[in-house]
Amino acid sequence: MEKNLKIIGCYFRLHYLPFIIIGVLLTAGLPSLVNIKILTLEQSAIVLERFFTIIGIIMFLPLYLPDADANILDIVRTKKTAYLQIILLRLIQILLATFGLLILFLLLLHLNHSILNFGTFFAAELANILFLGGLSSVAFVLSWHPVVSLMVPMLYYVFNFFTNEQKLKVFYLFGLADKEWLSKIVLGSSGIILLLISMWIATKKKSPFLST
Amino acid sequence: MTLLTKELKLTIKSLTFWIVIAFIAIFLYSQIGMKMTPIKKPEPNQDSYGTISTTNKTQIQKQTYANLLQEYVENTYSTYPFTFVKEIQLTDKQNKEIAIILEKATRLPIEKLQTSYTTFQKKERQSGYSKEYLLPLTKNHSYVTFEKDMETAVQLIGNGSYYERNSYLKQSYEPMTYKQAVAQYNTIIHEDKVTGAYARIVCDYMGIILALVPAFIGATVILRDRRSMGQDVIFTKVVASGKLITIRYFATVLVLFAAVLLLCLNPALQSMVTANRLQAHGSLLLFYEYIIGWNLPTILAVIGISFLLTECFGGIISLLGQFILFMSQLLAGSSDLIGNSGWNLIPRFNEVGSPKVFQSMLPQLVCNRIAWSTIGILCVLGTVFLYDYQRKGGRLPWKKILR
Repeated sequence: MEKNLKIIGCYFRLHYLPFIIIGVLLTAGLPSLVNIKILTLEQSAIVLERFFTIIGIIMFLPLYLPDADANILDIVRTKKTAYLQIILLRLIQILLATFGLLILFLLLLHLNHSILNFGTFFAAELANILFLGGLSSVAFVLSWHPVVSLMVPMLYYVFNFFTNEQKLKVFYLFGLADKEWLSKIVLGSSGIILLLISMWIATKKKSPFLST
Repeated sequence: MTLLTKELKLTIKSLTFWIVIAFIAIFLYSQIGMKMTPIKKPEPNQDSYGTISTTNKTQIQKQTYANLLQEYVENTYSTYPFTFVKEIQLTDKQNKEIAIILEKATRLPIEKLQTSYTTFQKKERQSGYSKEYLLPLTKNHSYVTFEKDMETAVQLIGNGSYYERNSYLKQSYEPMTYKQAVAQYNTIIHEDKVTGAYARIVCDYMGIILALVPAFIGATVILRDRRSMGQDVIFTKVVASGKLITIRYFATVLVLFAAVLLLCLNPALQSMVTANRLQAHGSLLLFYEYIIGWNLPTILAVIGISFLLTECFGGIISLLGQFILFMSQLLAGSSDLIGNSGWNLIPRFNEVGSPKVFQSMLPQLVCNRIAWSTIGILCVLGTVFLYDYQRKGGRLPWKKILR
């Protein structure tokens, strides 16, 4: 237990804190860029999906970031504590921080008299974040490069701005306003599967380091 | 092997570069497709010939009031205060003031106007949105009153709305007549040589995606030495910082732009085929002149900014900063998709044709492109300075926390 707390503390202090600060600043700053006052249910859904989702990508980036250096990764793997255990402890922090920011943003919407269904919005947005976070994580463990890890989910997110559900079907990110629940279920489950795949690749003894 | 060749090879071999190229290809073909919008010769007695920008004061009033009514009905007023789109909801009292403006302009009760607009919208939804709603303006409604009404609307809604003078003057249009349509067609055939008309829409889409993706390559190039732990070794070499960074910049721009030229070959050839079919003298050279003049400055700017931000703050902050810049520029231009340049990094021209609109935006577009190219080059100079400072032992205190 003590060891776990130490791992959590070190990760939080040395790696995750700047990302939490960025996440809080972006969440708090979003209302000055995008109107969140007196929105209808559909408008709230659009603002949440189109603007908050990007914060989710940022929060997931540090899952493997401390191990971006091949030498550090090799040392971490030689330690008695299983690498998978370290990743899981980081993931718990990431999920808690993401939940916190998401709740904060939903509260901001609520306090600004916008209509929203708290539970549904929370679950739907979490599905988006899990999916993009999963993409980011898989991209990271395949390249061990933060740029690639940020690039893949960002490009997918941008691509969604220029397409529609007819083209991307259940993988369309912005379906909450149209109540595309199946899409959210698929996105959420795919996100979890992608995260599991990333852990499986990361814990393999030899990871495929590519030239980035 | 020269430094340039080495840098070119390193970039071409990188995973980031190939992901970027794949994304540009997917994006371009998902937007334009393998079959571009056809150009057709106008025939007499067609239902519609499209629209053309207008200076007709009655038309400007009808359209602007109609826009105000539409936003009133939806109680969502679009504004662009910090270049991001911001949807504004007015209070009941403020909405009442908007209703009074509309009632005075039409001498009709607001309920009747609302019903008339929603009925029109329902019909249009069924017929595929082919017509625009024009407000039944009272006869002899003075343009001075209209201007005052719009000033009141701006006060209520806020800055950056559609009701600012420059905005409604720029975005007012009227239906084209057969004569105007034929004149436009002739300009497309003889002056644009067809290929020019298609080049503009390709530049539009390319411009969107090139405002973001080169940032990933730029960040990778700057981070490469540190990741391969070769930074300290390179610091001791005789090569000058200026030479090293400018060659890296040049190599990155060159390799990406070569890929863009290749990716544009398909739409370029399609436009040549169309030109042949329309018996116009299509010109590949003209097509690529557009791509070079329009898209190269975007690459110069984005890679330059990426170099500076990555050198200064590290990869993640650099990419976040550029993503925010990209989104702000994209959303700022989304209110006017045809012939919108200003100082935006992403000039928009989302239409095949409209040569007159392009001619009117050209002087501003040239200034815009020169300005962004200059910003890119200045950023590279800043990168050289920062790189040299660190090479001589200087440290950026925030970099350790942010990288």
